[in-house]
Amino acid sequence: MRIVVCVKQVPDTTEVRIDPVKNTLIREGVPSIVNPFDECAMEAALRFRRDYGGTVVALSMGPPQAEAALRKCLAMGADEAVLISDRAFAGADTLATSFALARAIAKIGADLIFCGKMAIDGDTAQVGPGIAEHLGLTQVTNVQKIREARADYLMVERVCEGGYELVRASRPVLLAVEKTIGEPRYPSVKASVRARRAAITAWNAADIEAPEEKIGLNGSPTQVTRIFTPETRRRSEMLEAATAEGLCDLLLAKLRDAEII
Amino acid sequence: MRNPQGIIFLVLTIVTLALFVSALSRKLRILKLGAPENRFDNPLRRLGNFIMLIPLQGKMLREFYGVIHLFVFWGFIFIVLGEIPLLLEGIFPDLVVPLLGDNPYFYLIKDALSLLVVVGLFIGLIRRWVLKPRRLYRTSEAALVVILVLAVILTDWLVGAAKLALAEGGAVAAFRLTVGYPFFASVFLTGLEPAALAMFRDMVWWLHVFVFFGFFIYIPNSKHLHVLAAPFNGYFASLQPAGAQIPTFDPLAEEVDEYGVGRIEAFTWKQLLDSFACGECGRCMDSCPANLSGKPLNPKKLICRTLKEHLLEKGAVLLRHGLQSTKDLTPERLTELTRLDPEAEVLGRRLVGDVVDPEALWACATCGSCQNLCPVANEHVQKIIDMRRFAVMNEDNYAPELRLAFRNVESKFNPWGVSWSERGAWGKPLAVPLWKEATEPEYLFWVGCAGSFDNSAKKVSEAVAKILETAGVSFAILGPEEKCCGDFVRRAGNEYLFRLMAEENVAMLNQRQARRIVTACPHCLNTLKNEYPAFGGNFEVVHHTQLIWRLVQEGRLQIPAGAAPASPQRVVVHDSCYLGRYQGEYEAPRALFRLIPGLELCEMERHRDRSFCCGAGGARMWLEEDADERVNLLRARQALDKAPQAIGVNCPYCLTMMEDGVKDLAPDQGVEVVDPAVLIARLL
Repeated sequence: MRIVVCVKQVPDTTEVRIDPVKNTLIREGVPSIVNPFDECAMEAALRFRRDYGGTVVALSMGPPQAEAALRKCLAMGADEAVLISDRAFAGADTLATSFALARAIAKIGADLIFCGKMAIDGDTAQVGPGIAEHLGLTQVTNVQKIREARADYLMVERVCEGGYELVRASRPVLLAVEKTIGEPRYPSVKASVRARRAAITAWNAADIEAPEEKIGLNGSPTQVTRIFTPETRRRSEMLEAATAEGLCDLLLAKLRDAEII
Repeated sequence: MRNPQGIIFLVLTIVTLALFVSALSRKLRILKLGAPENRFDNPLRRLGNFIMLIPLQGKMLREFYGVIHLFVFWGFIFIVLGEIPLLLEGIFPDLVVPLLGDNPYFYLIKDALSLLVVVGLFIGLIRRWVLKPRRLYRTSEAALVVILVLAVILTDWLVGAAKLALAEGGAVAAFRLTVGYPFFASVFLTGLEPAALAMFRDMVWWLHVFVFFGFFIYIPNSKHLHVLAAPFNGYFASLQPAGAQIPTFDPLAEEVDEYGVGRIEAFTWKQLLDSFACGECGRCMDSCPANLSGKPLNPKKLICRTLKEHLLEKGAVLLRHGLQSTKDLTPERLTELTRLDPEAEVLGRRLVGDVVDPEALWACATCGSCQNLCPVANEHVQKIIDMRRFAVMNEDNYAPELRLAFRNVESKFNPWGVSWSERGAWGKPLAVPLWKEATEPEYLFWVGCAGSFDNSAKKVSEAVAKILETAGVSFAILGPEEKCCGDFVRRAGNEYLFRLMAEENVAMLNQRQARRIVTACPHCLNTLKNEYPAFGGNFEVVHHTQLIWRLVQEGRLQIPAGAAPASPQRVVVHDSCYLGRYQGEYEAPRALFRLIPGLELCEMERHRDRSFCCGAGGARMWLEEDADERVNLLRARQALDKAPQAIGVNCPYCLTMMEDGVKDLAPDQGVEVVDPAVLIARLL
């Protein structure tokens, strides 16, 4: 059984900084990391392998330097890593990206696919479901726990408002996971060294038989035209009164003035 | 005169020499099991070290009892020289050995030293068995050697006394300046017949021969191998500065099949020689913060018991079976060996875990006090780092809190795990310029992780910035481009991560063309100054106290006249290990404190190079301290005993540890913990 984990290399933007003139993310001096949700997907796959066996393949699409993200996955314990990289992939939106990844997964041949629920740079949460659609697989998003795995189905917990749903999903299946599925492990030094030296399979568009019109800009019905930080206008006022009743009256008057109540 | 017995003596001599040589060669073969290390360079400097440590007893003489060792050392040499003419009588009765046998001045010195040795041995006996300091072990080996040395000296005196009583020409001339021989002659040997005297002389001579030969054979077979190994250890002592003694290796470039030291023979021969050189004086354990706070680390025991006993035991078995190491020994082969030879069980023992308690390894703060005091130049700290390397890099077996600190350094570039982009935030209110935006500043201010993120240490960073600005020194910081220097990572045994940090920092510093660096953290100082050169980073690095003191001396920084008296007036100084012992800088922080009007400095008993660690070095900052007595409380108590209004520190780790100590011990006394820069900045 092969398990594929899709990972994305993203800039380490705990606070997104946007160039106010060019309306683009400032990437200068910003280190690249594995998308934290994908790191949790990786952890979930490794725990699944521990409990049920199989081999774990880390898969990423991106420029050659995205290899670093795959090496991190190898250090964590992935058995193999595949990078799909081609100039023709450039400018892909979530549809074209999920198409290319789906082609690669078809070539790898997996019956269980883990994704992070979203990437911290785009926040779309569309690529995972997109892959499942392209491949015609069952999908469960927002997965926080795998209860058990049977030959033909998985029982998983899916987070929803105020609790979780218990979902029985037939295999093959794609799971888009929450961070709560498991704290990613810190790789051992030996594993890190091995990963830095390991060979990473590189495929281009031809290798995954992805037609030109379905990838990159050509395959992308959407485009990002502008990215900006919305201005937040926040005014605050401190109300003061001698008694609690007085304070309440003052507050009610203010709220009525503002036509809130 | 003893010719009929000459043959017996000759045979005895040959047997003794053979036993001595075979014992010694066994020890040498065991040393050769160790890994190679080049300690043969720079013979002149090595000779200088040797002379300082061994003939001059430089480190021994730093305390009173060392004087006794000086007497015993030189007494031993003269007694052994005196054996040459005495023993050669056994074969050539009439031979006069030039410079020795007929030299009254030689006998004068030997006689005086013998007396001093006797006195010294008695003081030693009283000390060990009456005063019983904790650092000395009361072993039968220690007692036996005293008896043997006394017997050698006494029998020598008696033989010589008999010769004097017989009025032997040579003896009368050679001993004419001595006291011991005539004393024994007049007290014990007056009125005896010449025949009786001659018989007494011969009997005591034989007794002397037996005792001396026994002692001679005993030396290489006991802890007294010390007398043979210590001189070599002095010669082979590290020539590197104290802060540059950690060897590196590149896990990515080299095919290393075992990281660190996980088996005794993976230590270098020099590291193994340390165990043989140890004289068990215990200076190391008497100044070890881990040991004095009740942790399982005892640096003396580690060297002269744990590692040495295991080395001798395992070394013997390895040699017996023609093995160089157990690295390639399969479990099947081990089982087979153990079936044939039960003692081969030792081959299966793990160095870290079965032999050395991992708790002991992790208790070390790398304060360097043990090495600083060791009279035979033993290198304790690297052994601990080597074994930590094995635990961390090879076995992936270490404390979870340390794992978190490593992860934070790797992803956020600081051990706290604060966002890397916040690194320069402390400087924003002060408009501290960023290096990449500044035009050729005079100094790069390397702030360090603590100075960037720790609230108390940030105040020091602010003070340094204010002082530099007042003095008109242009400077800038790297801000988010600065990353953890890797000091604690390296000392925790993670050479892989340390290399990553070192390479990235050196690349950045070189790219930004930084040449002169000032830092407020002694750990960063040591790493940048002493460890980065190996990674292509050659910078002039100074501690902020050094730079500020220089600015004062050059007149660039002036404390305003009539400055208000500082609030703390009585300050007790605490020397950090990494500015003190590792850099040898004790004056600059003190000089800065003295600049404060009305400030009175006082010293703790353990100060300057004998300073007591705060307990945070060597990755201890990031490890839990579970034992009853915490190191920082010990040190804070020593400081508070001086009834200070403030404790003066110069390192962000010390700052944290002393602040915590004061909070625990004297929460209501208002004792401040301050860096001198903070006090100076208050006056500007």
